[in-house]
Amino acid sequence: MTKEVMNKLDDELIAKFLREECSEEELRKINAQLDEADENAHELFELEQIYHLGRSVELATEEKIKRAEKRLFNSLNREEKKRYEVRKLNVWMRYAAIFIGVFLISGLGYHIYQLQDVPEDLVAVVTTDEVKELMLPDGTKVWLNKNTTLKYPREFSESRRNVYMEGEAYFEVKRDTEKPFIVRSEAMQVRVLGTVFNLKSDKRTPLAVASLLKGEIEVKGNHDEGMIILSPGQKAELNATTRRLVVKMMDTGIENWHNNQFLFEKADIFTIARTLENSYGVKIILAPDIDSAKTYTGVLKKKNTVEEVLNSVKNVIPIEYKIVGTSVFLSSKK
Amino acid sequence: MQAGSNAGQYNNGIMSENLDHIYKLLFHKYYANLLFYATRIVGEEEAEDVVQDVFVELWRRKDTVQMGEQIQAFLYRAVYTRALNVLKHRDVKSSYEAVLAEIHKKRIEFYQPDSNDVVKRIEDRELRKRLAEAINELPDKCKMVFKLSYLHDMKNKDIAETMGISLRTVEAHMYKALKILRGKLEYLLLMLALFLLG
Repeated sequence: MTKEVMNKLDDELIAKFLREECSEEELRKINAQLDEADENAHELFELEQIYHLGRSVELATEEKIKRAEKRLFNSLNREEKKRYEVRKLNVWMRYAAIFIGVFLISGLGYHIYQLQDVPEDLVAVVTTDEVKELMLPDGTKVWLNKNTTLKYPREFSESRRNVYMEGEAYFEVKRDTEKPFIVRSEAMQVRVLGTVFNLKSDKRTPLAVASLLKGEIEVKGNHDEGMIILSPGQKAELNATTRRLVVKMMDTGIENWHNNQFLFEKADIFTIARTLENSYGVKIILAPDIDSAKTYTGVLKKKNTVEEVLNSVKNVIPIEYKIVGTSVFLSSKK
Repeated sequence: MQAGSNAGQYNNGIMSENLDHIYKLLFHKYYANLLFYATRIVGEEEAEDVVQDVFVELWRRKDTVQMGEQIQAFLYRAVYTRALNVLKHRDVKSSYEAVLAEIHKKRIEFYQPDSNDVVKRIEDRELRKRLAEAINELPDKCKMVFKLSYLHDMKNKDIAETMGISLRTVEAHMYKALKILRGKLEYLLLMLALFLLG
């Protein structure tokens, strides 16, 4: 039964189909076969299902389920909160009406206060060439990287803590479950509940990145690109050109710019090279004899030039380097 | 599932704590399998959203949905319906995507949740365990080669390079692995073996 049917589509083609490596032409061939008889479709998809079942034994890890559960309960909480907030708002509206009513009747001509939060004075902080550290009205600590602007009110409102940021900033947010901390930037907004994270969102670069170190944050694209909740060690990347918001694992090494050092945790040579590339604007080329399996953990102090940093790296990792223009060649020490 | 026995007695006040507990248990029991099911139909990227939506929907309807033996059918059907919707609304931007969409349409027919076999296979933990065991019982080098190919999608030549062996040795190991697996798992792996030799 099966052997006959399947031989019409040769083995290699089906293997390619299972591995999702078919070209358009090959897909057409398969589709044509599927059109010919119902059994063909049934058998191919049955095979496909078993193929993937065999591979999926490790897909549903405990961790993945936990994360999914967290995400689900956040959604459910929001559902419940929405219902609660609508109820709360309705109550206030009712009182406002009574309030206004009373004053009009008594004719005292008071100013009617708006019920929404009156915006306080905004403080804008701009850095040019250095990292600036500051403390917000609630005790949250922020470090601003070069060319970054942060705007925040003198006093946070009753219900939330809103700030606006352009550039790159590192936040250590004071925990307050009643008042979510929301960072708005050009491309995305991040909603926090007491946590440590890094946010880079610039008008000039098409990629905005929120990296989470501790706690939990919710990242939302400002133009309906979607929303993601991050766990520590993850980062959300929003590509303004493709309008896609994705989650990736964080690279170690970058987020300690506010301490003027790089922090590496089990980083391989690729990660270290990438970090240096990003920080010094150079291109690093690795020779094939470099040990790519070894990982390193430690702190590397930031220096003014990449050459100085490489000299420090040489103390720990057996490499030789050669700088040609903005390219750096790294090879194994003989 | 014990939930079944309580299904008939509804009284929100007393039941609500139990309902939350049951809801959590359902999530743990079905999430991974529903995710697999959704992934087969709409692909990895959109599968999680589909399953999350279904569980949110289940929560919204927790007072009206019967948490009995039929809950499995409800969940799979809910995922199926949403997945069908996702496919319907996908933009087809090239001729490649067009033929892919044709195949997706046929595939989702196969994945109709009322078809017993499809869901049974996913819910059958024994099946997956047997597959995993059989693979792990392969002789060492053979197992490594097979796992790199099957679980990590590596090409034979990349496996050869990574393991520092010749391409021919890799192919020999693959052939050996499939022969052994075929013997162990008869029908199911017979189908797999025939088509993985490429």
